[in-house]
Amino acid sequence: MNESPVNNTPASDTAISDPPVSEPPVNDTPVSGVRIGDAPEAHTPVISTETTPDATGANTVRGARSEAKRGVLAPVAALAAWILPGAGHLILGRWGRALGFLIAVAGLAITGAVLRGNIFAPHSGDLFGTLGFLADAASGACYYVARLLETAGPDVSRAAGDCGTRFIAAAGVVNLLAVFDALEIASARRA
Amino acid sequence: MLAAVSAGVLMPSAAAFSHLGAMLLFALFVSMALGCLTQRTALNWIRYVLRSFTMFVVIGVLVAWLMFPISR
Repeated sequence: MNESPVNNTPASDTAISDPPVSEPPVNDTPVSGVRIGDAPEAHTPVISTETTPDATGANTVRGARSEAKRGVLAPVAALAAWILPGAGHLILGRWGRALGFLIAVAGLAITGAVLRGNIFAPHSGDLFGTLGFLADAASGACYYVARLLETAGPDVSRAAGDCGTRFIAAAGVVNLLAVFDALEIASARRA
Repeated sequence: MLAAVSAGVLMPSAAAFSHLGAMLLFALFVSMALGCLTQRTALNWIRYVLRSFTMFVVIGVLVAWLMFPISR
């Protein structure tokens, strides 16, 4: 005779894959009703998620203010980042990036000056010189620091001097990247 | 201070840098900057800088050897 299986599935079927209901822990809940390890939000009252007209208006005003603030902060951060490598990120609270960019840009510019690379002057008279000046000046204050350090003048007759010229130009290009990064962060287009 | 710097007292002079030394410094600084641009956490930044620096040096040495037959 076919006997029905001992474990009959009840009418309100639970799927086989459902996990068994866990037993409550052995330690009783303390008198306060809060167990150690519970998430705080488990005991906070439920707040209605419906927005009132006042709350919506306040949110709109707040949103407009933050947009205006971002509109002012972005060019300020970009300008600061150009003038002093890392300053833009410092204004935005990104300390690590600020330090990294400062070391990278200043390191490149100072090494270029030590190698006696050519630091292009503002009025050079030819297109190559002007482009070189634009690249060098993009490093901001490091351009003037490099000019101060290079007391003996450039010496591009040797390979080291040639390398130095590239180092100083690279400092400017890297600082430009830092400026754009600061601009993107201030405009909330990047984290 | 400027006189001390130009005399090589405070800082090394150009003669102290070889091509290899200049390449290593360039690779280090550029890797640091690229790491700052692309990485969010300190650990990822360190890993990226090490990886990028190694790639710079390896590729630089490779290109140098490739150019060796046409060097003077």
